[in-house]
Amino acid sequence: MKTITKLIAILSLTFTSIAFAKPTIELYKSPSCGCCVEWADIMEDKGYKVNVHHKRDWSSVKKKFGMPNQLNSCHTAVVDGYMVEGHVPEKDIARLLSERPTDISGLTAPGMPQHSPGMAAPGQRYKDFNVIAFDENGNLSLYSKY
Amino acid sequence: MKILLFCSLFFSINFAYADSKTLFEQGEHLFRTAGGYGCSTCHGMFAQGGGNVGGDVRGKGIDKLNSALEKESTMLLLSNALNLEQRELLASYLIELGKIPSVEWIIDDKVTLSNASIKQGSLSQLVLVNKTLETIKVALPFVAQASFIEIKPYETKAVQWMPKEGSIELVYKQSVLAIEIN
Repeated sequence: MKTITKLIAILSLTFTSIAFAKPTIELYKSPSCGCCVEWADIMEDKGYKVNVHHKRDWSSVKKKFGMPNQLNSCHTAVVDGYMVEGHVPEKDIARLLSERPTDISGLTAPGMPQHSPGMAAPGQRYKDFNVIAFDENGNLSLYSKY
Repeated sequence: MKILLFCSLFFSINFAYADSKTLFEQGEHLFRTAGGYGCSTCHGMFAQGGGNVGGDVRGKGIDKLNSALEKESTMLLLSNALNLEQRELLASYLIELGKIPSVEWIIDDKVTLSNASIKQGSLSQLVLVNKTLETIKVALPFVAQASFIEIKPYETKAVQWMPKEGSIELVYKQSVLAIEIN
């Protein structure tokens, strides 16, 4: 009986951790970018595994997601089928992965906002930038505002 | 003889212009591609800032660039990607840009009133950044001859113009830029 109870406990723990495990982030960045590493560290602290791919040009990775070029930042992440460009806060990524919207292909924090994750000083409040959603046809909508 | 002199002067001026234009264009290309993402990601498309963390670097020379590459944490890794020749090219591009007085107008979807001043009588640049989610058409009376300039979402465009004494007010919906020209 004890063995069965232990087995059930182990199995439920395993299934729970699988159900709540955060997906792996595939991060494409230039080897010369330092702030991308800061952003990756924040994501790892939040429980994501981050695989870093150093590239000079990763435009082919981005192409299918439809983000207009002028919304570029310094790095691109692909996570669970969505593209995340630049210094997008983890809170928005968690919401994206929880809601799994079918009408957008990704999120971007265009440019290099001073008070965004990876750019702001540790503990500083995120402010003065927008997170924008885009679809495969390049249509844009406001996802969140800081 | 006079014709020969004129021709040699004409061609030397034009070749000199072509050379400097090429260097400027090379510098601009490097500014927008260095490291794979470009200096423009942090400093704006025309080195004017654009509300990004790096700010305005127009007019900065080689000493400022080298110092930033050695001391600024976000630029340390980039220092390995830029050789001396590329640094010189970037610095000369920024110096040339610095000779063109500029005013930046960030158009957002909120109510903004920005003030700027610029000197009259020298070729200047108005840099417009569209931070709305729509393509906008902005009228630029006293700045551009075209009736409006079209800017895509999060796109940056620059317009060259010769400011004349006085003051002008540029308006797009709730965004206003007042320029004092002295």
